[in-house]
Amino acid sequence: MSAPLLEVRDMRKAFPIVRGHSLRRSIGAIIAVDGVSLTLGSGETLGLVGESGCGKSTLARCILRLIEPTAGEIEFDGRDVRACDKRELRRLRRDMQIIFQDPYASLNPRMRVEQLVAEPLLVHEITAGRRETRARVAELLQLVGLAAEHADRYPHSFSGGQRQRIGIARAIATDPRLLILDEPVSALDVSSRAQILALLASLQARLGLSYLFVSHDLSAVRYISQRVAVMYLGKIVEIAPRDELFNHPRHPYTQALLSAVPLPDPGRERHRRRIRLMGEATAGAAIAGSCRFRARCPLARQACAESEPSLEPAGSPGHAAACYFPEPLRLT
Amino acid sequence: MSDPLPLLDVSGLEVTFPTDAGDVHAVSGITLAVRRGERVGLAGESGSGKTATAMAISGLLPRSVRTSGSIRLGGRELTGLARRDRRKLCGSHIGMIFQNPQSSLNPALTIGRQIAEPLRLHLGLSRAAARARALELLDEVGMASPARSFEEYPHRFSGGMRQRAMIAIALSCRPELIIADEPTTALDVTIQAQILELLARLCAEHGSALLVITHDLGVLAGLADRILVMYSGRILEEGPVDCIYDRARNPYTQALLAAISRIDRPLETLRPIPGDPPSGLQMAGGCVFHPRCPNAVGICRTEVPVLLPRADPGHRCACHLADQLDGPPLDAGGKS
Repeated sequence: MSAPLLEVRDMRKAFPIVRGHSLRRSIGAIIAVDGVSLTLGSGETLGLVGESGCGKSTLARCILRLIEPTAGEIEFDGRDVRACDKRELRRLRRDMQIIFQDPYASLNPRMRVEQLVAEPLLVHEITAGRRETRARVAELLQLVGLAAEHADRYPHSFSGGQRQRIGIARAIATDPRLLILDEPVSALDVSSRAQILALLASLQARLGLSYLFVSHDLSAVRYISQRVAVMYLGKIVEIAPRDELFNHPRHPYTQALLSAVPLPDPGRERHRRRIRLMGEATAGAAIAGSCRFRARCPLARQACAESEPSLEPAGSPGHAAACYFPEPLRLT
Repeated sequence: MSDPLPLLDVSGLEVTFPTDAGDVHAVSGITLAVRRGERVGLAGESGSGKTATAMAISGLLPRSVRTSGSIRLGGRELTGLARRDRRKLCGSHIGMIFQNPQSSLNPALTIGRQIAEPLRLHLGLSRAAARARALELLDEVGMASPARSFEEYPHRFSGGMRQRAMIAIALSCRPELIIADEPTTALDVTIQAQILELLARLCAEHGSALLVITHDLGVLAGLADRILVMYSGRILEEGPVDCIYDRARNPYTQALLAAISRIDRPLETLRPIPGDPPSGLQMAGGCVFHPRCPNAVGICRTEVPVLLPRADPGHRCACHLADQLDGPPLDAGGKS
């Protein structure tokens, strides 16, 4: 493979915990992202899964520098993103766009669809003149499966799925190369979820987009991704090609996640073996010098308390897991 | 329905929301029964009227909303009751769990106070007895340290913990019926699994019946005994859980199942339902699903299909073509 489109090296993000009002002082830090490295090829989709608080959204925002990372390197199309000044960053964001989870909250309710979709075209001075802008908006609406007459309506008159289509039209307006999708289907009904996933897949094929697909929904991630990374408390604990990860998960956390996904099959649900995880992942609860999953891991042993496992190759090419006991397990 | 006296018996329920743009018929004459100890799932997309149904049963709809039909709980008709009496009855016999525990818990009161309140109000317990019972409930729903959780405010809890607190409140008066509206939609998968298991276990232990409302048929497979599929204010199909997943006859149920992306099937089997659900303002004539149905013929546009019994006991389907269409296309290309 040629050079990746996006490369992230050892990204860290710590949010200070602040006490006091007039005498503000930092009394510690929540480490949301704790040394993450990943690459994304041109036209590829990398799925990033994990529970709330694992740092996946923070990581996504740090890549675009919507949040300033604490440390690490970001290389996009051969350019050092962290070295960019404001103007360069603005130019760069034409090529890197983001779609948010909540299509209700991320669209300005006072703007018509036409204005919403035209906004990025005007901000980045992509189209010249009203006629060209209108034509491009019409083209974009068609591309995401909305009708031309929708252009004059306001967001409130659309269903959740249609609003997410508007969000997608805005994001692809600048003809980007990378789309970061932060839980794009989590707020949607099952039926519109399937529509949006199918739309994203077809747009990728037509426009050659690269996706970083961030979600806690494993079935959606499986549908859209070629490779999948699993995050736990700020670190990637397993990464593998899609089928490899879903068929041969090695990390106990990945195995537990997969076993928790409900199957729409009453017969199998009745006899299914679930790996029960006790408790919840608490942001910032990772203990230095031991495995961060140890407290909830059903397999934890002495070695897990003594040092932290790093991502090591496991099984087939491209598969790596951060676990001292990466036992294969078949779940389904 | 073979039960002579179901715990909850809803018949001919209609719910109409008056709006500036005209009346919205959220529920158009549905009939639904829940037996004692039974676990029933009510499935449908947003706008299908499933939440309006739940709110009508528990008497939580605002006064401006028009309802008609009969709702009987334990043989007692609820619809004619004065608001006060109704609230009293529902408060102690029906427990409610909502999708978003963040907005249904009072942020200004401690968790303990919110669990103890209904105990004092509906069961007339003393302050000390209510506190003792609340601690027991917190322990029962799996709160790590009940005594500490009792004193905490909701914002200190994660989504999963808040939902556990909601369950404790819903269970507090030992209700005969628990209505859970999208209880796990806002939660992560591992927490979802914990909460579903907890709900099922506690309902069994307390002998409470459960009515779960969700858009995700995936969640119901392991939880419900019986399922009703709702679309645009009507029940289109109902039956025992295996019937609905394996032998669904209604094209809408089949489409809803095929739209679930699942981790145990080849990717090509995912099929979105084309189009959007109707808004409730402009209702099509005939079968409510015909504008999106791949099989619709002439009669579907003019006549409303009624729920008719199928071969399996308890299985009923409202579709003009239920006899003509061959088995569900669900497994085409699918393997197990």
